[in-house]
Amino acid sequence: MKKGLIVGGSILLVILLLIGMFAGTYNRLVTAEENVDGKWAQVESQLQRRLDLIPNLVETVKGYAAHEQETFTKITEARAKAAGARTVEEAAEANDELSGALSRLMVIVENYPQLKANENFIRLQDELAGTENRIAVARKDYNEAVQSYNTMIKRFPANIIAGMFNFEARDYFEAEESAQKAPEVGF
Amino acid sequence: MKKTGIKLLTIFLILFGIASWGWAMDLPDYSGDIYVQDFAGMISPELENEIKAAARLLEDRTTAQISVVTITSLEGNDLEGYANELFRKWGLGHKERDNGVLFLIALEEQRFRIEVGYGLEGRINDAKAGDILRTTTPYFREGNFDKGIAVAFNALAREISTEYETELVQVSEAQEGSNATGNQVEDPQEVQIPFGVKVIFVLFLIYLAIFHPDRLLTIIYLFSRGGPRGGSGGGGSRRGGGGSSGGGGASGRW
Repeated sequence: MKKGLIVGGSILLVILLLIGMFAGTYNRLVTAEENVDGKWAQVESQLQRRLDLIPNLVETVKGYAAHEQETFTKITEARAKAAGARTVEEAAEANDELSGALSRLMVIVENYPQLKANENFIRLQDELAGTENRIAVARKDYNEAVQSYNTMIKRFPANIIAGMFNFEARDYFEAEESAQKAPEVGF
Repeated sequence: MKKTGIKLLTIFLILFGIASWGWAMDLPDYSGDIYVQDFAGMISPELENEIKAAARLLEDRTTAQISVVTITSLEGNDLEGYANELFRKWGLGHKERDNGVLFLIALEEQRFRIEVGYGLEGRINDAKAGDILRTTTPYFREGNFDKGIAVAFNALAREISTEYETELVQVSEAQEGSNATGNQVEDPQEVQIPFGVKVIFVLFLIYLAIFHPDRLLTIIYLFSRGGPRGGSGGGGSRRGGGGSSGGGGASGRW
């Protein structure tokens, strides 16, 4: 009789321990996934901030360099594409394109000394450079969150729980080397 | 056969050593009050004391922290990344309010940056940070770093005072000391270590690891017991409050 009690108690203890471990792992996964989502929201808000800056910037440049129509069209197209991006991959690609178009615009600006001296334009450039830099930081934070989350769901025993509850690996926000550098503003 | 094995091991250890050393960036630690860290020796002692006193007062009133940091060189790192990582490492500003501001000056590259914590981005937006840098540029070009730094500090302190609706805290802007050479490094602890010396040090560690692991362990043990750095500055030196930033602010060159 006593033996049965001990065996039963031990089994119960093991089950409780397993449930505790299970719950702990599950909660860690949820936290890590939420961290990824939170960091992604940061990236998105900075990307949006850049999209919001562009019309103003283009208008200002147009006032001095009206005949650079081709560049403006490219920027508008890239902007529309970035605004319509649905997945992380699409967003990364579209934003690379937009960064490229914007840096071409900054090259053109070099030919217009009056524009470069325009105070409104200088401050817009500050905002753009700051936003590009914020995007870079947010992207780095997001990628770090993804890395730790992706590593977690591949490790044993979390991978079993991840499989049971459909925790899927997330995409990195990857940009080309050339797009990583924010346009530089010289004074 | 055995030789190649050792060679491979050495190469592996070197690569590993460099990889772990070069992880992220080689960022300095601060000593004393966090408000001024003059690694490049660009600030006169008078101004340094003035800024420290003013920044301390400002923090007492608002919890916001301003830190002026000069470095001799970025050593190939980009200014924006360096500023952001340093900001986060030191934890400028109050932990929950993220109200720190970093004014980072790289002497060799002639570049500077104002990095603004999340909590002050509304008050000191990128354009305003850019304006402040542009205002100070002429003084930096003249080599009058004290004046440039005083003007920038006052502008930042003004914004923070406005944000928290407290009395204005300022330092004197009549800084004549044109110590343009920037060669008197005050704190010998902060002297930059040349790359070659680092390499030799790594090689020495590898040598110890292979031939005298016991001595290496002793050395590690000795260092872990407190290291060469004593608690400088004494009792009340001000530490970073645990705040963070996300790349807001502006950069420029002079």
